[in-house]
Amino acid sequence: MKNLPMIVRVAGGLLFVTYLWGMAAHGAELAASRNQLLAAFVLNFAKFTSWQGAKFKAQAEGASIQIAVAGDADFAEKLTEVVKARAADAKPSFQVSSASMESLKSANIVVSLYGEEDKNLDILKKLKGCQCLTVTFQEGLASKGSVINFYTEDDKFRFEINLSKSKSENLEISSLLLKLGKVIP
Amino acid sequence: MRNFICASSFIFFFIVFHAPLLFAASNNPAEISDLDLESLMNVKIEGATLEKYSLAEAPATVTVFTSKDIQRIGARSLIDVLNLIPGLSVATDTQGVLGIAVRGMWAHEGKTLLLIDGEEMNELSFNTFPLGNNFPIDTIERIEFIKGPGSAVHGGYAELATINIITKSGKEVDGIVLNGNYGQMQRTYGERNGGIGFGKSFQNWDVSSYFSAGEGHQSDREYTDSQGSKFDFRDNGKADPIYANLGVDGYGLHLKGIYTRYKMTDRTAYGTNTIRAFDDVFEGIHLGAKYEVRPISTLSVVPEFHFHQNKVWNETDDSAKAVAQLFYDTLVQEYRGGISTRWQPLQNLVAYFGVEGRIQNATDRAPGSVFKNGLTKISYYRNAVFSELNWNPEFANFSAGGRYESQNIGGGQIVPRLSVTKAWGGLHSKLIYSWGFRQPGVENLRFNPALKPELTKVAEAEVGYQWNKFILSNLNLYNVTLDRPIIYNYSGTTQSYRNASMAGTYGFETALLGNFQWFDFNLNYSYFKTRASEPTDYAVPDHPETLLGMANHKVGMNANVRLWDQYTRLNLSNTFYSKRFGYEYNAALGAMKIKDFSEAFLVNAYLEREHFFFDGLSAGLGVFNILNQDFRYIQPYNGSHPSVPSPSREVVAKAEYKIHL
Repeated sequence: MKNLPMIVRVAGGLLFVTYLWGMAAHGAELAASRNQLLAAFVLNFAKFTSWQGAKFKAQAEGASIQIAVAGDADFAEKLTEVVKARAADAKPSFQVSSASMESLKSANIVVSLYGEEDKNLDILKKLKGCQCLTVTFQEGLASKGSVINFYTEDDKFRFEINLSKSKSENLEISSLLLKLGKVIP
Repeated sequence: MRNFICASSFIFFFIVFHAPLLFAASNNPAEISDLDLESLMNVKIEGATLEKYSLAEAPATVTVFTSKDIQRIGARSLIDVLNLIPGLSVATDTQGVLGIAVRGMWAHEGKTLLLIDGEEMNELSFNTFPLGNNFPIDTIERIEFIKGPGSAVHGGYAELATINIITKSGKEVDGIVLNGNYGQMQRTYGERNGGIGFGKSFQNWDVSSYFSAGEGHQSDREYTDSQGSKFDFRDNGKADPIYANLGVDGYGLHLKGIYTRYKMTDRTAYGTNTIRAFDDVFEGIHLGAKYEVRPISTLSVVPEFHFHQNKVWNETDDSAKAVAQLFYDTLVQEYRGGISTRWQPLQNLVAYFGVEGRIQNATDRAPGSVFKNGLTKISYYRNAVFSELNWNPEFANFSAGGRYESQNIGGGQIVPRLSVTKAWGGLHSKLIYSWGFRQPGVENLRFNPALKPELTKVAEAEVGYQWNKFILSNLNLYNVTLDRPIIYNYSGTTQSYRNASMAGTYGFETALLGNFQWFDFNLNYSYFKTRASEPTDYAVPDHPETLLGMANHKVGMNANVRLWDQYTRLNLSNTFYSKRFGYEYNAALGAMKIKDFSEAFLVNAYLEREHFFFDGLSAGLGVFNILNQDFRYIQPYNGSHPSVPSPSREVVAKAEYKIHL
């Protein structure tokens, strides 16, 4: 230790002080994996959305809310895990389905997470008029037909809501959701 | 020293591989999903999928560094990032300027394209970009290092590699950002830079701006020239940057303006020390505009225009006139325009087509100096047409394309590009065969108007496997051949360029990447060997397996460990370079002689804290070159210039404050 140059000793001391300072400044805060957090958001969206027509009827009768995932098998797996981990009597109940086009059209919520924009746009195009709450995670998709589009800011999820698209799909989005998200007219 | 290195390595690996055990913890999925929406908005995302995973099917060998990666390693400049990438290294040119080497090949002059926000940053005289305390690192959102020719897409400078830098958009900044860094070497400061940026996204518009300025020293060590004369870099090796970047995006319109000024002071000249240090200025203005039009949903058309102006190696000090070949004042302007189209007739078929033209006007403002035409002004024209077809059926992804580019003096060149990639579950593979080329630049042609474009042929194969959600490994084999390489030489009195017959290397790069909730790591190794017929300028006598200034073996290690919360992280990195060779002054001989430079370990540690005291403030403190290795940047050709020193052990402090508006 005595052989170390002064500058290294000073730097070491500063590192230690920084650690202590940092510890004092903040305690541990909650964090979650990307898929875990995304799943929690998607399940929450269902609580703040009302569907019309047949999907409204199913929602009113307490049927499970159908969520279909396309483009990310890992997320589908995590979402299924999260849904299974919920209490048996938790309302609303959810059912996660595969990514066939039939299941997408009949779903209440469609999460399209392809890496390629073209594939996401293709899904959005095919779902036009199906009264689905479409959820994506790619820059610019909220203005290209997705109802809710995620983005990140300071390592936290944020979302934008395409209000006119939600109206054209006969979806009623609650004011809380509109307050927390960035509304695109 | 050996014991110290062993001990350091042991501690490094101990921390890397035991961190998950020390800090293991997890959140219950049910607990997270039970949170209400407002609470979820405050939960941080951890263990995001590696960016590299999405590149498994990209038709290129790509390494990505995000702003988060850069922040975590505490990088002082691009050099700290390059050190961690397999197959890339840094060497010295003349007048102390540092440049990049790719896969054992000196790739400084016209062989590597540097893009910042789509603007070509290579200067227009020699087509280089000086590394060092240049191009602010903290404004970068993402860097893509693409090895292998990109000429078919990007044109002449992307012969061996492309560095694509994307800076932070207005949406990402979302307010005002202030940042600064200070580095203290053993005998003087390494750099002291500060910057301010503003960025905001308004409806469909995005505005970003950033300005920075600073001072630095290239090193604080002693240098010995080719005659045995010495000087101290502490008093003679300044590196002072100024940088500004302004961008506006909206409704398909993209406007960009970048200004760079990098002032070095130099006494090394061409290997014989000058009597005092002279200012050596690199200055560039880059303006660009492009506009995306979609006449139908499957077709995108992008017309674009760029203006670029450069002064490089600018030495206009009156006393520099007394030193032969130092007084230099040439201004080059380039106007570049083109149209590119993207057409997707089928879901799995995309076609690209484009045309491009550029005019370069050079003016020599040094008294009495003229170009080969006998005038102080000269113009060059280049025209290009390029196309690429991407077909992605279920069983594989095929890409075929090419570019034809002609220059009014250097002649024409066609370069094809073919690739097949496929990912099956966790396994991915790539086969790439591509050509690249380098059109001689304004100053290359001044020295030798008969120069022809050099041609590079690269064959690559890559296989990678994602073992689970957290671990990825890959192996890349390559073979690089340069036909008619343009070689620079300085004989001690005159400079010259010529087309040699052939050069090339072959080798492999392998990497193991891990990304866990509590730590991530990157271990990589690269190896190259020289091909048979090398130009004598690059060759090492009695060592045909290697090239001047290049390490045949390179190991990069980086580990980032989360400490007591997600805002505090410790980064440890080490770059190992095997033995290298270069020409140095030999006191016994009284002349330059080949010398072997022993192995080097560049070990760094950096502690980073986000939300330091209050939201928006991040700070970090680190030590670079902990072992205080006397690492030298070697001239990679026999040009009479001894190696230049790198910074000694350096303590670095960085801080950034963001104000959201």
